[in-house]
Amino acid sequence: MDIRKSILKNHETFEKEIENLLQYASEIICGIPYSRQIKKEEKYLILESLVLRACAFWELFLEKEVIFCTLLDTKNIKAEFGLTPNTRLTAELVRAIIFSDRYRDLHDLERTKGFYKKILCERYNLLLNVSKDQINKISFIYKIRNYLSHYSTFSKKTLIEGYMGLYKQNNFQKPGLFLNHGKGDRFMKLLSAFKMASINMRKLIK
Amino acid sequence: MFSKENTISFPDKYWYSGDKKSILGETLFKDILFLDYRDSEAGSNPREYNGLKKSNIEIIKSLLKDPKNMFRFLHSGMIVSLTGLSFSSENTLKFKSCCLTNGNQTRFIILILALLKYYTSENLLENITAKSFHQFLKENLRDEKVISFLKFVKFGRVNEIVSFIKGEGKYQRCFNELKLEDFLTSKIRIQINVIDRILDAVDELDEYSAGTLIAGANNETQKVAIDDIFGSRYKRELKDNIFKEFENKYGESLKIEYRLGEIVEKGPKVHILTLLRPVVSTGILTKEKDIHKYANQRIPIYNLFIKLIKNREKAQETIQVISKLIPFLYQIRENYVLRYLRIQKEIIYRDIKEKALLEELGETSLRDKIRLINNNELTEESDKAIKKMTNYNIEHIFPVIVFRIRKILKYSKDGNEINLTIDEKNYDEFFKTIVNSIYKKYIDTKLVGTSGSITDEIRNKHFFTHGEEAYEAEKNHLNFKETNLIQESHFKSQ
Repeated sequence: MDIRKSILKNHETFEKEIENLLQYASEIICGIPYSRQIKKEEKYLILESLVLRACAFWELFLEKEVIFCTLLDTKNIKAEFGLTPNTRLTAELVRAIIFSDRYRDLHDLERTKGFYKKILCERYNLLLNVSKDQINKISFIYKIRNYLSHYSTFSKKTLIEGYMGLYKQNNFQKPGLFLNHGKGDRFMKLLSAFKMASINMRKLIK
Repeated sequence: MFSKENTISFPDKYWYSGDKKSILGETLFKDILFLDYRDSEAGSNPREYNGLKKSNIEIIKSLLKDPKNMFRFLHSGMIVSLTGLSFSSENTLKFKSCCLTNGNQTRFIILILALLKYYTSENLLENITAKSFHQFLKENLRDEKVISFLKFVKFGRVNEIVSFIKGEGKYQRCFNELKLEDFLTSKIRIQINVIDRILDAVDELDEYSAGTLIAGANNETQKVAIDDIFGSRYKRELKDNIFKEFENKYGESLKIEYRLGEIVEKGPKVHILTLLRPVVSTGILTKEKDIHKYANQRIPIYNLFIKLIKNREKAQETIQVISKLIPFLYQIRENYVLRYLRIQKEIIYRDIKEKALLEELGETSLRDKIRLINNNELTEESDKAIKKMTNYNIEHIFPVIVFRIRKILKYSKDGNEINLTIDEKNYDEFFKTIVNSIYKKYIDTKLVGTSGSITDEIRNKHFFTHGEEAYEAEKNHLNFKETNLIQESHFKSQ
C-alpha cells in the first residue's frame, strides 16, 4: 500500500466533495437553474443541510487522514498505546486502536491538537499546517452544526457566542439566514475553509 | 422665499436682438434657482451638475467672496432656451418651458449655497446630516414644484460644499456673513434663446429638438460624456423605436437611463449603453468582420445608432428586430450570464487560491504578488490580488456571448418576441457552458498578463473566438439549428 498515494487520494476526494457542495450552494444562492428557482426559505434549508453534509465529509476525511498519517511513522502511536516496537500496524489495526475504545470527535482541531501530537510524529502531523483562520472557521461551522443537530438551549447559546466572536453580531439568526448574508458570501467563505485546510495539509506531503 | 414660477425678471434694462430671437440682460439669483434643464418641452441639457470639480471650485469661491458686486463679471452667466414667452410686466417675462443650456453648474452651486444658508438660519452647519437637511426642507418648503425639483440636489453634492466651507476659514467667514436675502437678489447675466421665434425660420425641428440641439452644441466643447449627448439628443427616437419593445415589457418597473445619473429615484434602472452594446455584437449593424472593433467602444456604438436613427424610414425592419432583440438580450444577461459569471468567479477564485497556497502559480502575472504567512495563510494583499484577478467587466464578456449566439436567434412562434432555437429548458445548460468557457479564457488572458490593457485585448478579434468550441459542443449535444435572422434583417445602408 502506497500510503502517500492514499493520503493524496483522500485529499482529492474530500476537496472534490467540498467543491461540488460549494458549487451547488452557489447555484442555489444565485437562483440557478433559472427555470427552476426555489423560495428563499428553501434556500436557507438547503444551506443548513449542506453544512451538515460538509461536516460529515470532514469527519470522514480526518478519520482516514489520521490513520494514514499514523502509518507513515508508527513510533508515537506505539508508545502511546504501549505496543511493542515490532508490532506490524495496518490501516485496519490503527483504526481499531484509535477508535474502538471510545468515541473520539477529531473534527475540532484546536481541542484535539494534543491527541494528534501524541499519536502522530511531528513530521507527518499534517494538521499542524492548517491555518489559524481555517481552524477558527471550522470551529465556528461546528457551532452551527451542533445547533442544527440538537436545537438545544446550550447549542443555541454557543452559537450566539460564535456569532459574536467571529462576526460581532449579538442577535440570534437562524443559521440558513445567517449563512446567506451578503449573497451567500458567509457560506462560501466558511465552507471553503474545509477545502483550504486540506490544501494546506497536503502541501506537507508533496 | 423659494418658489418656482416660470418667470425671469430683469431689475434693470434688457436688450432684444433685432429679429427678437435673443434677449440679453441681468436677472436675480432667485429667478434662476429652479430653471428646468432636462426633458422639458424646450429641450434637454446633456450636462448634469458635476460637483466641486476644478472650475466649480472657482465659481463657489467667487460666489462666497462677493456675490453682489463682482460675481457676474467673473463668470459667463447663463443661457436658457424658452418657449411660450411673454412679458407679464415691464421687467418680468413669463415662459411655458425652459431648458437651461449653459450655467447649470453655476445654478446648482447657487441653489445649494442658498439652501444651506436657509438651513443655517435654524441649524448649525457643523451638525448637518442628510436626514436633518431633508427634514428641514420638508418642514419649511411649501411649493410642490420646488420640492419636486430638489430631487436633483443629492446630499453628497451638498456635503461637498459643506466640507469646502468648513475646510477653508476664509470662506467659512464669507458664508457666515452672507445674508440670504442679499444673496438671492444678487445679479447674474442671462441670454435667452426665444425658441418659438427661432423655429419660425426652421421647418425640420420641433421645440424639444431645437432646444436639445442648442444645449448639445453648447456643451460639446465642455467635458460632457458622449453618452449624455447621444442620450439627450435622441431620447425620443430611442424611446419610440429602438427601446419600444423594452418599454412595453418592463415599463416603469425598470427605467431606462438616457443620461448617467438622471434617474435619482431609487429602483431598478438600466443605462442605454447596456442595452445598445449587445445589439452591435449580433452584427446586425456592421459587417461581420468589424463586430469586434465596434462592440467595446462607446463612440462607434453611438455612431452606428445615429446612422440607424437617421435612416429609420428605410430601416424599419432592422429597427423592429433590434427593438425585440434588446429585451431578449437583457433578459439573457440578467437571468443567465450574470448568475453564471458570479459562480464561475468563485470557482476560479478558489482555484487560484489553491495554486497560491501550493506556490504553483508558475509564470503568471500574479505570482510575484503572493505572500504567505507561516506557509499556510495568504496575506490580505495577496488575497486582494487574487480577487482583483478574478474580477470581470460584464461589458467585456457579454458582447462575446452575444456574438456566440447571433446565429441561433429566431422569432418566437407568435412573432412577438425573439428567442433562441434552443428549447428554453436547456438555456441553463447552454449558458453555463458558454459563460464558463469565455470567462475562463478571459481570466487566462489576465493571468498571462498583457502588454497593453485588458481593454485592448478584448477589442482583439481573437477575443471573439472564445467560447467557439463550447458552442460547437453544445450544438452537437442539444442539436439546435442556426438561422439567418440577423443576415435577413441586416442594416444595409452603411
